[in-house]
Amino acid sequence: MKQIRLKEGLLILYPTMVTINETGNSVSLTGSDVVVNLPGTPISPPTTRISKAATQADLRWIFENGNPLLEEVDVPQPTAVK
Amino acid sequence: MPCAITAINSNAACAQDQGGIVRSFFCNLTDITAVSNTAGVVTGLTMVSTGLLKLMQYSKDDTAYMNQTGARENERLSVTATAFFKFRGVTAAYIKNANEIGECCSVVAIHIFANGARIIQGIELDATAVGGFVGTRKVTQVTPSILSDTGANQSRLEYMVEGSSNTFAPSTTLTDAALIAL
Repeated sequence: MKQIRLKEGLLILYPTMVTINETGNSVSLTGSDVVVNLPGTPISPPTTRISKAATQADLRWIFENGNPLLEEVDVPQPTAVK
Repeated sequence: MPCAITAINSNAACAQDQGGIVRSFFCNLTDITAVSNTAGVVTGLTMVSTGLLKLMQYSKDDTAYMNQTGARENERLSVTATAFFKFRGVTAAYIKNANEIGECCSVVAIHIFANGARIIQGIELDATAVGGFVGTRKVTQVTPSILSDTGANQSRLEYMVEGSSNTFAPSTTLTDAALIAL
């Protein structure tokens, strides 16, 4: 089974990495949600932004859109335990 | 980029093609981890975190621009990109903003042109780089100025954004909504 994943070594360098998915929403490439508290500015109050972890469908679209940080790998199908 | 000569015809439509830029998004070069592109057009950005692109809404007085001037230096093409815009008035917040952005070592600016084009100043596409891009050859930096001017004019904050590269700044299909979501 083919899966899309972040290339090795990048998660340590960029532990809160985000990008845009097909629907224009911010998604995390780290495998978990990224939550960031943004301080207020003279024109906007403090806010909390949450980038949900990208789904496999998100990752495939981002990969096929040319993101160089992702790769397609073969993942063995789990076998049924008798 | 390999040599190629392709025909261009700008007389097919009578679009007004208003000049100038109307707003820009800014971040540090180090805030971007990867650039996705299709045939040289940027279709996606990956950032080190969310909320790092900052929207600059400057004066709409037909003075804001982003020009890229090509020059030959010993047969090598060099492109100097210069953007200029201003914010009316002088406030403590403007002074803080000017001091902080003036300290940035290398910035990236996504300029929205009046005719709808979207150009990314501060990067060059490079398929051999890990993230698919590099910063401009001569770093892109902001030089702020704060002017009282005279009673006949406006006091203002001005930003000049300048850097040099080997290629013209790439365009992008990323919408304002996507850039704000990033």
